[in-house]
Amino acid sequence: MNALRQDGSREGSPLMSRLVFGIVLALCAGPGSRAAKADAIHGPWTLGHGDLSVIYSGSGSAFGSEVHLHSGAVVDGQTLTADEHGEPSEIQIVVPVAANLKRINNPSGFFEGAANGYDFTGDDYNATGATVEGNLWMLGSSGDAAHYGTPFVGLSAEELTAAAWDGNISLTLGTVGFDGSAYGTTGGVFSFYSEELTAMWSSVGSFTQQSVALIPEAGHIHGFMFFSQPGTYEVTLLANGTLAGGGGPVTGSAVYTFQVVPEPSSVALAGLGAAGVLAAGWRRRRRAAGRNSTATEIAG
Amino acid sequence: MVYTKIMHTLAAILALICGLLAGPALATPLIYSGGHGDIRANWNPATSPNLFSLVLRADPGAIIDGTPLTAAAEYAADSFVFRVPATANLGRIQNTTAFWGGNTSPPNSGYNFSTSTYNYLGTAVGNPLWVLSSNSADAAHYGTPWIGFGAEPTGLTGWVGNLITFRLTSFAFDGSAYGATGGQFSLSVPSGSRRWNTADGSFANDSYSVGAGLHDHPRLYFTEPGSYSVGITATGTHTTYGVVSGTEVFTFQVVPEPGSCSLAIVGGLAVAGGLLRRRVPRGRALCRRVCWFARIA
Repeated sequence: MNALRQDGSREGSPLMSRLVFGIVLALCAGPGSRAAKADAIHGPWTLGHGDLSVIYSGSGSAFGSEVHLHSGAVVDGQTLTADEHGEPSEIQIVVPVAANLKRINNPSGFFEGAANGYDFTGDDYNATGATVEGNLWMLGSSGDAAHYGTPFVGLSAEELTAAAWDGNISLTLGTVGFDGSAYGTTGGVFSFYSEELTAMWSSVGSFTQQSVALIPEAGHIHGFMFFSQPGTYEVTLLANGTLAGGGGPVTGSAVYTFQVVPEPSSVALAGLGAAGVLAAGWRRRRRAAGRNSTATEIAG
Repeated sequence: MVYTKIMHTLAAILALICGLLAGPALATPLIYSGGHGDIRANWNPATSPNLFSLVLRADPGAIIDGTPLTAAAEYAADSFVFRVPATANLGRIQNTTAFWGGNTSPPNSGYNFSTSTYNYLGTAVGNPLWVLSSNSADAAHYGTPWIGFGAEPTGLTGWVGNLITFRLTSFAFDGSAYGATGGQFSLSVPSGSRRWNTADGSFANDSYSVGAGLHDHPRLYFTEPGSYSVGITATGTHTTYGVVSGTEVFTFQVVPEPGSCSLAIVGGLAVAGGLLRRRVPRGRALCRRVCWFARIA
């Protein structure tokens, strides 16, 4: 993702490989990537444990948000040696090709930490927006994350002080943007299922959204996140809580970016297409250069 | 003289009852009764490359002996017990309006332990069933510990299959070894799929894996009140160090319904009170044990 930071360090690379690499990364990263702050953790989060966390400054009526990356997580290719806290806008959560389990019945597939199989074909999984037999990317349990080589993503209110809050913090789904387009009936669908495999959130328009309860200070949960297509998902989560002692309501929202990587065949096709276009351009430039050279010689 | 003999006999019976209720941990272990803690596989390849040390890693806010921790702390397996309160007795039933899964909208999504999926529990539909949920909101709602299994110290890489496996390798209920009768213990993933159970009489298929360097929260089930001694072995195969393993026995005290519990306490206190009046030193010793049981209950 360094190529997307506009750091200017491009001298010395062959033109073709630089451009193809840039185009493929742009296809994978989509419009969700932004120039990163130099002093904060940033970049693609590819492995290890992290939580999408609700935070609070101690005053006011607005929650903040962060990505709490635990020691051992891999961000921008680097393994963290201590916990780090990143801005949601600076972290892209990568959902790799290996996480495409497809919406099928796979009796020997690895799921919930064991090779005991899974069956996503039932109506319970209609909220994923995937067609039966179609593609379906999943971020699951710790065992699944380790097996498929994905980030292990939780939702957390651990940064809050328990005594300051009256009851739980509730999280609900706001908008979901897909490849730069707002929430729509077409395009990729994001959904979240609880650990019990109950559908809680879905960007399928007809779905009745549920709220996820988080306990301040102690609470984080892990469930199953599903994505129906490759591309960039910008998922807005809404947090609601009430301060203890009549302190009033506190709300907040945060946008988290998931980069769902397409199957290699799609990437290869995109790469080949880009290479073809670049090769044609190169040939045109050579011909033009040849014509100019001939013209110069004639003029000389 | 006869009266003294009667009192000795009563004291012995009370001690036996207390011992049965409290299990083998008579050194008044700490009681972990709420908040988050992981049964964690610690690993130090520099000193013991082939050994996992299994401990309880309790997070800030975890309640140990009635007091919330202000900082994370680790406890040896034999230094504490997990308290499973009477409020965790959800029953092997379908309850469509119960608080479950942390889902509060619409209020209380309910649970259903009555399906055949849960036959591995070893108790009939309609019977009592104590449950420790995998969900932190459920744990807070029912006032139970929220227990995870952690392998953070292993790091993410270098492990065959990228997994650390926790196996059930020994079991006793109220001091008696594994049997077809008595309390049964099970562990499932949060969706309810079995990973460990004692009702099948075998440890052969009792395996639960978490990602190396990660942690997860399973669901735990108990079919009767009493003391469960659960032997857990964590194993991983490291590409450099080979097989790494460690075993400990953890104790779960499952608290009976308030009716039977208070009867036991009242009876115990009455006998102990009689002893205190006549034999102060012995009475104090018994009282300590009765009081410890009262803390558990």
